[in-house]
Amino acid sequence: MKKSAVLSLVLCGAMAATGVHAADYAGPKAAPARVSVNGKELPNIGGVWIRTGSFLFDGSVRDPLKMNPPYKPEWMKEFDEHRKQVAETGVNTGDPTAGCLPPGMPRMMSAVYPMEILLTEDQVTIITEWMGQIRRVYTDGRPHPEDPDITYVGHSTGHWEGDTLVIDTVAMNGETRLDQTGMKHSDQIHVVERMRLLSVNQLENELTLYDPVAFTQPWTVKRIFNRAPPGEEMREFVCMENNRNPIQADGSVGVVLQGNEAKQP
Amino acid sequence: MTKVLVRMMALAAVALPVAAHHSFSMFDMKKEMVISGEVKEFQWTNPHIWVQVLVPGEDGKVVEWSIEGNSPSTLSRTGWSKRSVTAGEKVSVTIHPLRDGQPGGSLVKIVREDGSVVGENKAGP
Repeated sequence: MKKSAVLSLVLCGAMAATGVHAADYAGPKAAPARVSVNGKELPNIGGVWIRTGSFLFDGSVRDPLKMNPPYKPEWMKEFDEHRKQVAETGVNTGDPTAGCLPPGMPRMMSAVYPMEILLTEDQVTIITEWMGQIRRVYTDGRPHPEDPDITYVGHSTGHWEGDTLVIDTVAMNGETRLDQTGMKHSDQIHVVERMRLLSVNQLENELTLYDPVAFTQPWTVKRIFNRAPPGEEMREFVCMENNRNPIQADGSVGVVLQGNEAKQP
Repeated sequence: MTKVLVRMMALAAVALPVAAHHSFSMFDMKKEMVISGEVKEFQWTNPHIWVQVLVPGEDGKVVEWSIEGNSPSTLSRTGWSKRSVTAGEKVSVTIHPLRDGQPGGSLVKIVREDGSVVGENKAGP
């Protein structure tokens, strides 16, 4: 091999390793309104989405004391006592995510930080930046397993009704909360979502929660997401990297101080 | 002119959005205080960032304060980076102190020695 050929091979290798081809990059593209998946034209719900609304499960409500879940009386009593105590003392308790457990379904669909949706042949994949959770929504026509394991994200199947993706989710962990205010649900919860574009840059997710153990009737809330600017990248979120906020014996969140060794409790 | 600019920048700094992975109720969010000292370490980490600040006390003894900020997820989208704060630099930090009086707090804003404010402090997603 000629010297020049060897040199260009070495250079090519170096360029690939350092990503020098960035000069060819024309910049991020705006999202198209529709994409082709399996030869089928679908509304482009893919991309990175940013939640609007409040941090509560029902994003149209900002005050936890004004939240009105259709709880059975005993569930409502417990929630009422909890939220009143939090409002009076200012000390929040009972949020498993403070200890870095994942929010799970359905809380992850109202989470702070973006979520990314990927449309592929037999599956819609939803990745939330917060806690790095992944939902796999099988769109190949399969049913739920007969006796599924209970997991944080549950088991999801989906199908398109016109331009709306309908997602059915079962087998969710009953120890997660609906949001930071400590709203509980049971592991019998069943979630149906209707996801559609309001415009190319706006996504609506209508969630209906069926929980025969906790609720007297289904509870439907809508969440609106704005499409992130073109080129927006999802970040890594490893909660145990440096969690200095342990959950204490009373359920409140503590702080791990550093330095001043003699002063540590 | 410089002084006016510094004052304007200080005014432009508003409280960080509490878009956190947990409640910040261990801090007294109604109380604000300012600590001044030298940055010992900037922990640009999940789930929250921490700024360790060495603050000389009245008795001459240096106390290390642990200041908790938001997550890199929120802060990186509001003008912060891993280089926003550097070990060794002098800073004044406005915090909501811990309720129990220990040397810790939640971050409201950081002002460098030259008066510049760290980050843009816009409301995050």
